[in-house]
Amino acid sequence: MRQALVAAVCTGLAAPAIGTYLVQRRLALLGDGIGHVALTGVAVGLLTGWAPLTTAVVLAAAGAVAIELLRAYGKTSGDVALALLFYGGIAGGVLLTAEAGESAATLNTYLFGSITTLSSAELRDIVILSGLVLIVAVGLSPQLFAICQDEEQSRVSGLPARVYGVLIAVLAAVTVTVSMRTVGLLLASALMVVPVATAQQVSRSFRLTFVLAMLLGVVASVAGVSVSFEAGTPSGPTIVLLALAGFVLAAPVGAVLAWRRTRLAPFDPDARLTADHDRAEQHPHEHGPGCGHPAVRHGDHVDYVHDGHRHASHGQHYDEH
Amino acid sequence: MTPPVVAVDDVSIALSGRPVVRRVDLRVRSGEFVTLLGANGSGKSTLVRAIVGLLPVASGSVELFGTPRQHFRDWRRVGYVPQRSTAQSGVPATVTEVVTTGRLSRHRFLGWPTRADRVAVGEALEIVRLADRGRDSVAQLSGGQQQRVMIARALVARPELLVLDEPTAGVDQASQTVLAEVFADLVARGTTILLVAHELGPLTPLVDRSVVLRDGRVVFEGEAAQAVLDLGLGEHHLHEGPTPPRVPLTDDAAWGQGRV
Repeated sequence: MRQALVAAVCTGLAAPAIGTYLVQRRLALLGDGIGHVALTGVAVGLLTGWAPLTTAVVLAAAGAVAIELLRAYGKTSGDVALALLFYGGIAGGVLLTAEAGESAATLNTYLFGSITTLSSAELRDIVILSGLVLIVAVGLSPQLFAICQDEEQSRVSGLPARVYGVLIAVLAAVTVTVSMRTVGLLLASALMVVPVATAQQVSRSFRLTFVLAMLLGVVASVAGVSVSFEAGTPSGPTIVLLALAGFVLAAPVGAVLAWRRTRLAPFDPDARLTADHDRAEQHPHEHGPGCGHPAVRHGDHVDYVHDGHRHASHGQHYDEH
Repeated sequence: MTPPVVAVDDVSIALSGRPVVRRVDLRVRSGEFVTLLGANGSGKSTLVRAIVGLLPVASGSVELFGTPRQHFRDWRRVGYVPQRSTAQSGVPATVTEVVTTGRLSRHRFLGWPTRADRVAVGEALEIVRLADRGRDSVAQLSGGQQQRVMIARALVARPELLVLDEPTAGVDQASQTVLAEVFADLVARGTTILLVAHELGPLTPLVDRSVVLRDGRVVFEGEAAQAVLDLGLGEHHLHEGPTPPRVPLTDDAAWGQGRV
């Protein structure tokens, strides 16, 4: 149980951290494609007797780099490149597993998570790899945020944007394989995307989204692992359903916040100062008490009725009110 | 004598095998405000993308501040505003966060914002008249305000050259006026500006020189570019209504002389 919880905290932190960048680049499904390739990696491990985690990391990383390069240089569009990865990965995985003489049940533990069968060697790898992902995802966050925000602009800033793009893809591959034992390869992507989607409902900034997503990821995976221990449910689906429940709770809050913002924005006093307010026509006359124009109290200031419209003093000029 | 800020010599650019820019020469000197005008597909965006290093040139040479572009590393001296209708991405981000990314050209390895970065971000937002919107999400801003966020992001590293790709496209009239004020400020500060646009609109009085491209070639260079565009020489478009009266070019010789 303690081991399972440590693994849950690791994946709960790492998956949304790297997932935030994927969602920002509008590559939310990349994790899913990588998961399929990692499946082939697991099968290679089963076939050769090497540790499935190692072979999965290597193959998933290779697949992730391939898709990033296809996207950056190739003529293949992002979603077609993803589709190629999906089908190749799952077909290869199932074929090789059958070749290795393993049953579908063995495959299932990797596809949907099976945290109870975690060995301490695997736990050590999970802690090390997710630690690495976190260090890079947090330490390089200014650069990674910049290239995900606007790749061309950051290239002109002199950032090696393509190197960082490949780095994000590799980190995503490592994260998917690390999440293999807790949520499973087919659901790892959910833990990368769902907490981010939930966090955005209530957040206006990247930093808050990032931190909140990691927090939600940890809560969902720790709670999911505990529930699956108590109720005997598979850990992966339990974690993902809990994460989705969080989204279902947050979505109405987000909708209300967005509605309030759009409803109030046109009348936001801060917005009006910088937004493009109506300037009154040039006039040398200075409005003041007893200037001859009727004065009207308007909120926190006084408007002067001027040829049928109202002027309010603003800096060196008058606004139309 | 200091070299020109931008020196484009006999440059041709091909995109997927199709020639888009053909043997173009262009000089932008320190402190100048130069615009590249032309219709869609005239090659003006392609040319600036090659100048800032986003596209390779097929032949010819591009120099920035006297250094061949492929050896140029001092990217903090160049601010770039890509052609984009929005500053949003898949995750919410505040105006300050987006503008801060522009500072990365000043410290590449440790990107965490310093006090100097925060001061610079405040100044850049001041210049584009968005000082009090720093904590707002960019998604809440209008299209014109988002363009100003991208301009602030390009300005925040205090570049000597600002390259903008159609910042006025699809921007409402009121925001265009604010943009014109922003450019007037920048010109007064001595920033060199290379701007791609469809038409100049309220920017006309600020511009020193315009270059009109058509089918990847320079067809006019000089102060009267807007007039050339209006005559339909830079751009083909169908007029509605009666055929306008023929306007003779007063001085045919001006064609060659406007060029550098």
